[in-house]
Amino acid sequence: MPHIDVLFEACKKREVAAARPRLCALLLMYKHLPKGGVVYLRTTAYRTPVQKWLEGISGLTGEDKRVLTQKLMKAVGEAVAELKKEVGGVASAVNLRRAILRRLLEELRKLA
Amino acid sequence: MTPFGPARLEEIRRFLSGWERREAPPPPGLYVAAAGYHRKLVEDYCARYHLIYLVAVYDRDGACQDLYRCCSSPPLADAPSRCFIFGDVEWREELAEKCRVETYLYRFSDIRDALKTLLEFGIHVKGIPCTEFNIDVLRVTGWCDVDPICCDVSAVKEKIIEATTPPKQPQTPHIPPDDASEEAGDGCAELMRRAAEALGADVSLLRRCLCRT
Repeated sequence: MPHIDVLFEACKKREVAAARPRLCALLLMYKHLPKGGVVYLRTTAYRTPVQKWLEGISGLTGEDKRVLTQKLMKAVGEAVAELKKEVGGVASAVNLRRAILRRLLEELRKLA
Repeated sequence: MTPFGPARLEEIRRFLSGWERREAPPPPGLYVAAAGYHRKLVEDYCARYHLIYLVAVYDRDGACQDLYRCCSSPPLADAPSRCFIFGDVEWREELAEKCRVETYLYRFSDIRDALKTLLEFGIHVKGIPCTEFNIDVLRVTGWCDVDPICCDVSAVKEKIIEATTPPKQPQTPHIPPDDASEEAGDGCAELMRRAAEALGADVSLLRRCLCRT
């Protein structure tokens, strides 16, 4: 997707991550897709990436990180549940990428 | 590799009515969408489904006798290729042993129509996100105007950031010196004087208080 990094950078702002958790969670999931093979869709697989991502945001207190992790993990959980319905619990990276992209585009169209 | 349900297959049949069908791999051409290749995935897919390729043959003058063969001829001056292909997987020789393949060809005298048709099949029938298509294809077909998100998200990024940035505090209005309002001649000085008298307050103090917000 063109400019995906641009959007991901925007999510590195605390206010954006807090206001748009679904968008940021989908972006994070997209960024963590392998190039090929299969993906086991599990919410817990995204906990460490979310925490690492929040470490990259400057000026967050411990409480901020806790609240944001909670928000983002909730959004990840919802997205994973939806994606599981569509592509199954063990999905090919290709199909999963497409399914995430469709949701990302929907989300962006709402904002445009 | 999007597996097809029966409803989708019906839709595909409807879309492809009138196209020339061949049980052969796609001819040489330009792929309009990202067509990655993952051997295991393709094998699994081929065990259940046929591979389908759509080939839009650009034949401006109607000179092509055999659409399939025409794809091997040199492109016209105004196009990068004779044939434009949409398929889930870029064709490789090794697929011939494992997969049943169907290629559908259609003649187009307008390159834009050709690309638009492939785009519509990919997006509406196969459910491929628009961002998987070649950006030049999206531009040429005018898809970027229909759905700008497919081509550029910078405007959305600005909106996202704007919406989450706290509004700036309005600047404290400039308090004109006493003389300036006297000169303004809008009756303001007179009004201030009367108000100050009525309240028994100092004029300049009253002005400062009123202008603080």
